[in-house]
Parts: sequence; C-alpha cells; structure tokens
Amino acid sequence: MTFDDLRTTWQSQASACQPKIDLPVLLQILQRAKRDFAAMILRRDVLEVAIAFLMFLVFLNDYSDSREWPLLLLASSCLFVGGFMVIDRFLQKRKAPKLFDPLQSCIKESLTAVNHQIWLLKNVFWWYLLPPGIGVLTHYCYIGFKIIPTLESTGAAFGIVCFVCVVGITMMIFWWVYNLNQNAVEKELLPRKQELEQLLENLQ
Amino acid sequence: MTDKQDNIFTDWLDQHLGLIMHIVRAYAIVPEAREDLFQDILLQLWLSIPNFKGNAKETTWIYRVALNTALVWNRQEKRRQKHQTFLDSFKEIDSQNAGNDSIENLEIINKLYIAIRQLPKTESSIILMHLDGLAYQEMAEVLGITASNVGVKLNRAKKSLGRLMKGLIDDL
Repeated sequence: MTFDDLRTTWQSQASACQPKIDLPVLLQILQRAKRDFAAMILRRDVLEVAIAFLMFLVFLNDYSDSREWPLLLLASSCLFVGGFMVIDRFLQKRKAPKLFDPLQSCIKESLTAVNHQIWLLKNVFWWYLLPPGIGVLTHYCYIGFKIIPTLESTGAAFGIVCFVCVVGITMMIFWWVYNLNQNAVEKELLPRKQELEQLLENLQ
Repeated sequence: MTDKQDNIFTDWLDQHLGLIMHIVRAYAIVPEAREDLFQDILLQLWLSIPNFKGNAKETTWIYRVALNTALVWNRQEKRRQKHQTFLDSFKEIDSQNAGNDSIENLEIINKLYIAIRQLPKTESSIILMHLDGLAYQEMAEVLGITASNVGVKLNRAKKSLGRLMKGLIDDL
C-alpha cells in the first residue's frame, strides 16, 4: 500500500466514522457550558478579592471604633492583597491564550500564562502572606503588650503561653498555605510548563 | 449573534465533523476521554465563531481550534456534565462502524491511529492535516510556521510513520 492509498482509505473513513449528534441538545449544552464557565471564572476571580476587600472594611470599621493602629495596618494589608489580585488578573486576562490563534502562538501564550502563574505562586509569601502576616503579628504583639503587664504573675505566665500558642498556630496556618502553593507549582505547573516547552521545541 | 453563531456552527458540523473526529481519535484513546475532548472541541469551536471573520479558511480555523484544544488547552478545570448527552456513546460508534466498513480497512485505520499516537504531538498533527488533504500553506497557517518548514517536518513525520508502520506502507 502506498501513502496515497492510505490517504484515500483515511478520507473515505471520515464520513463513515461520524457520531450521530442531537443538535438541539448539543446547542443547549454549549449555552449552559458557556454560562457555567463564565460563572466559574467570576467566582474564581471575585471570591478571593471580595474576601480581601471585606476584611479591609471590617478592620477599618474596628479601627474607627477602637483607634488601635495595628488594625489600620491589617486593613491596609488586606487592601494591598485585594488590589494586587485585581491588577494582576486584569493584566493577565488581556494576555490569555486564544484557541483560534496558530498553534505556535497559542503555545507561547499558554507558556507565558503558566510562567506567570509559577512566579505568582513561588512568590506567594511576598504578596499574599507577608503583608497580612505583619499586620496580624503586630496586632497580636500590641494586644499582648497591652494586656499581659496588667495581669498578676500566674496570669501573666498563662497570658504569655496563650500568646505563644496563638502566634504558633498563625504561623502554622501561613506555612500550610505557603506549602499548598509550592505543591501546586511542583505537581501541576512545572510538568505543564515542560509539556508546553516540549511542544514548542518540536515546532521550531 | 446566537442564531447566526448556531447556524455557522451547524454548517461546520455538517461539513467538517470528520476532521474533528480524526483529532479526537488521535489524541484521546479511551471512549470517555474521547467524549470529553470532543465536547471540549465543540464548545471552543462554538465560542470561537464571533471571532471568525472569514480571513482564514474554515478548515484552517477548525483545525486551529481543535488542535489547540487537544494539545494546549488545560482541560483540568472543566469536567464534563454526565447527566445530559448529545451523541451516541463513542463505544457504540466504534461498534457501529465495524459493521459499516471492510474489516481490512478498519484494521489499517486502527494501526494508523496507533502509529500516529506514538509520534511526537506536533508531527502527529502534521500527519493528520496531510491525511485530511490540507495544503502546505494551510498547515503553515494552522501551526504558525512557514510552508517550507511544514515540508521539512512533514517529510520527517512521514519517515517516522513509515518506520512505525513497516510492512504496511511501501513508499516511505
């Protein structure tokens, strides 16, 4: 058999090898999938940002009631994290890969998106954990230094233990969030990056 | 846009479903994965229609969307909805086709798919387009490389395919 014979067999198979499609049902599914996808993107984009801004308002409100300055630090760290996410997503959305572009462009755009995601998660400590971390620890210290000196010796010792425990638990939560992000880089993003690089290398 | 979009989509399905099926069969092995990929490609194709201005040929556009979906698009985020289906199960399609075509041809095509799946993904995409009758320039537009580069890669891919299908293809 020659390659041209093979091609003829292949093309004759194309018409025989087609599934029967229920078109009205398919169009309904596509409409619904589009809505679900848009809702999923909205949830993903809005939820974290909304929580950050909500926390900002809560801490700002607490500050206006109590006038304790560490609350202002916490509020501004939440505002920073929320603002960072909004700007980052806005910039990245404009660079999102388009599936109707040529394969090479689509791979490059996807690679840029994956690289950015890796950068974001590898640096999660600096933009996501450190700002609220400083705010939280400052607030704990402020409360601790305010309350512990007013307690009697046994009460003060108990207060110090509680303080250390609260700080320790907070640090553990931050460490867990950090690890979660680094695992996502190692297990999902780096393999994906290698796969895309391999595809690009084969094309060039 | 929805009515116009639906009409264009229906026309494309009528005329080019075979191309999509080739890509689905080449890049997804088990029936469940084929159904997932098939549905993803159809969704992306339907979503792409508002951006289709007629500058590219329909086959080029469809190939771009289908190949990008199969090779590049990260499908982990979306899972297929199982409760409603718009097509016969792929298992049923395979068994129906066994009755429609000569067993010899089916065996040849199955061997060809097995060989195509063993090629690097970019080579397999070039072979698929070549088998579907796309010209070098069209392949170049799908891949985003020059037509001469397509020629070089196609020769390489055909040689690899020839090695994988030794005894079946005589002229490679």
